[in-house]
Amino acid sequence: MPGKRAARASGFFGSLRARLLTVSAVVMLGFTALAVGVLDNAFERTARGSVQEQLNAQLYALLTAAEINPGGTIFFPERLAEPRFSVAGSGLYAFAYDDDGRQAWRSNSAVSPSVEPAVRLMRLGESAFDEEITPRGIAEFVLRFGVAWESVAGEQRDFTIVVAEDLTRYRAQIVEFRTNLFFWGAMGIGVLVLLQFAILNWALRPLSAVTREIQRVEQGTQSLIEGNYPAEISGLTRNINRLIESSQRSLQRYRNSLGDLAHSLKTPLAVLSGLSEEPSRDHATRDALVEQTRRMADIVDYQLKRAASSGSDAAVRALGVKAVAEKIVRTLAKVHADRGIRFEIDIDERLQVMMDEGDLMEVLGNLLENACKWCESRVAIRATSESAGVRIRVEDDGPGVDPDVARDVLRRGVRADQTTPGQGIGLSVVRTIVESYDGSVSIDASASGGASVRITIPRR
Amino acid sequence: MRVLIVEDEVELNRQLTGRLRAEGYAVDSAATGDDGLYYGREYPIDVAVVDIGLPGLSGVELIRTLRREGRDFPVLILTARARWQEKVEGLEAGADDYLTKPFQFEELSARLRALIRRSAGVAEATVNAGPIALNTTSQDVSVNGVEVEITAFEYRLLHYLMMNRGKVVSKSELVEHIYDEDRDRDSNVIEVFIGRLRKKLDPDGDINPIQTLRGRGYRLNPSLKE
Repeated sequence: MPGKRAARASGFFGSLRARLLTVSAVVMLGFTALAVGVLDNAFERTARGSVQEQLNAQLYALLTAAEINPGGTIFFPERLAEPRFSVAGSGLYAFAYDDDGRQAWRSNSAVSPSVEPAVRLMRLGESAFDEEITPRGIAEFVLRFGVAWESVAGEQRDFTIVVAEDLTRYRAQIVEFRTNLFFWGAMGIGVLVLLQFAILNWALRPLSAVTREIQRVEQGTQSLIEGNYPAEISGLTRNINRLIESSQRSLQRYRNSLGDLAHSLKTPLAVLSGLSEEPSRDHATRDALVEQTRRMADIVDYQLKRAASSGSDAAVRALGVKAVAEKIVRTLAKVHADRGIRFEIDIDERLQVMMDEGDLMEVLGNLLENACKWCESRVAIRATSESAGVRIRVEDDGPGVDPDVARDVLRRGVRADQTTPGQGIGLSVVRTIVESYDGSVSIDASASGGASVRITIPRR
Repeated sequence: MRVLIVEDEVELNRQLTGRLRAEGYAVDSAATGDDGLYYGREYPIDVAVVDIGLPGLSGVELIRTLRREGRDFPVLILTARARWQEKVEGLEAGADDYLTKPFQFEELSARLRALIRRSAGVAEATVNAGPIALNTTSQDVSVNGVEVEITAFEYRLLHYLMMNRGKVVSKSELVEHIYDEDRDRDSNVIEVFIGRLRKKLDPDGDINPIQTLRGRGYRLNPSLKE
């Protein structure tokens, strides 16, 4: 199922770094293993060769020292040039056999019978170098060589000279070499992997920087990717920036055309509404026309506001809540100047919320306008920073909202009061905008029994 | 009262002009911001209705310019977009109220009356001057609680005088605020209507509600209490 696999690289191999590290570690391991194998093999060969050479040298030295007595038996001086032949258990042994396979001589070092290799006779001039185990179980390198002496009687006597070297030393050498080899090999791999990791981190750092920048773009703390990146990534960031810009442009176009649509639809609606009020029409027709044009206007209003609310897009930035609230309150205080409404604003100067300014105005405008519509004499807005986000509460001292009606208004955007057009629309627009920021709206009663609308905009 | 309408949609402009005239306003009607600015500068406007989405000079710029030049008559803006940003912008520029399209004519009419009252410093829909009571909503006039039959033109005269109480209003000022630009302006007619109004409001000649100040104009009798 190649299609499925291509859809999404996930888990451990979803990370570029993990992929590169794994591949390079495997390659390095293979190379090192091969190198260690070759080195080990070469060392063993060399070591073996040198043992063979040594044994050869010993053999020749022995041959020069060897003499034959009149009885036709071979014998060697008591003190040989190589001291190891004289020390018992030195690990270097020599033997001589006559052509019947009888042992004619052995070095002083070969005290223990167990060090004696199996008897194998050589013809004249023939030699053999082997690694073997003595019949009594000791591993040795054994060099055998066939020689002949002419006795005083002019009779030719054949002997086989055997030089044996205990394998222990050789093996210790090999083991030491291998230990060293493996230790440094492993160290090398470790250092290389660490180095690789550091290089990867360094090389991939621009990627994490881009990721962070894109995150900030998404959160709205910056509008474009600004950093300077290596050639491989700058193409990508350039294209992402172009994408962001084009999406912002098309959003702007979209909003503009929605605004134009609103303008061009609503003026004819105003005309229709005016025509419907003309006295020449009978009552039933007038009421129906009025109701229908109002419904059309509400639908246009609601859908346009909903579509134009930007929600969590790039236009969002940190906004001072107080300044916007003050602007709206100034506006409403002017409009309702003759009602003597007392406005209370309790918002910290520094309190900020991550929203598009138009959206925040829309939310506060609708909430405060409703409060003004229903209040006796007092409208209060307070905003606080809570763990859940920024909480804004708008209260009035009016008749309050029936909880069932409130639920309906928040759920479906139905109008709370048919005689006050826009009330339901206002609240459902608030709900739509707030929800586009993953926030929530709730309505309950204020201390004075009026309505209290609470919205929460989470931090991002 | 003289109202200025600045609305580029011809049919809506026609409707508003017709209905406001029927309600007794003198109406100046403009289709562009530049025309609106001309009327606002040159005529004694009492209240204006301005569409925000005008071609050329926008509604917001129009209001801002008028305010900068010291014209302080109340302005109601009509908006189609209904975004709060637009309303706030319009009101910060100097408008006093807003209405979102489409709207009921009654709503517009009520808002205009409220704006006129407010600019005259009157809070209630009914304005009193001694025994005379003028209801700006129903356009009824009563003296000592008894309703008095008056014509639309007489109502306009009385309304203007009551909204400008304490001020001497010249004949030409009355003409300007009560007649449209394109109507016949005969200031002698004013004298005739003032005479009729006096007779209707004060048949016995006790209260002298409208004083004549020779060579200067008319004034609502300052001794009549609000």
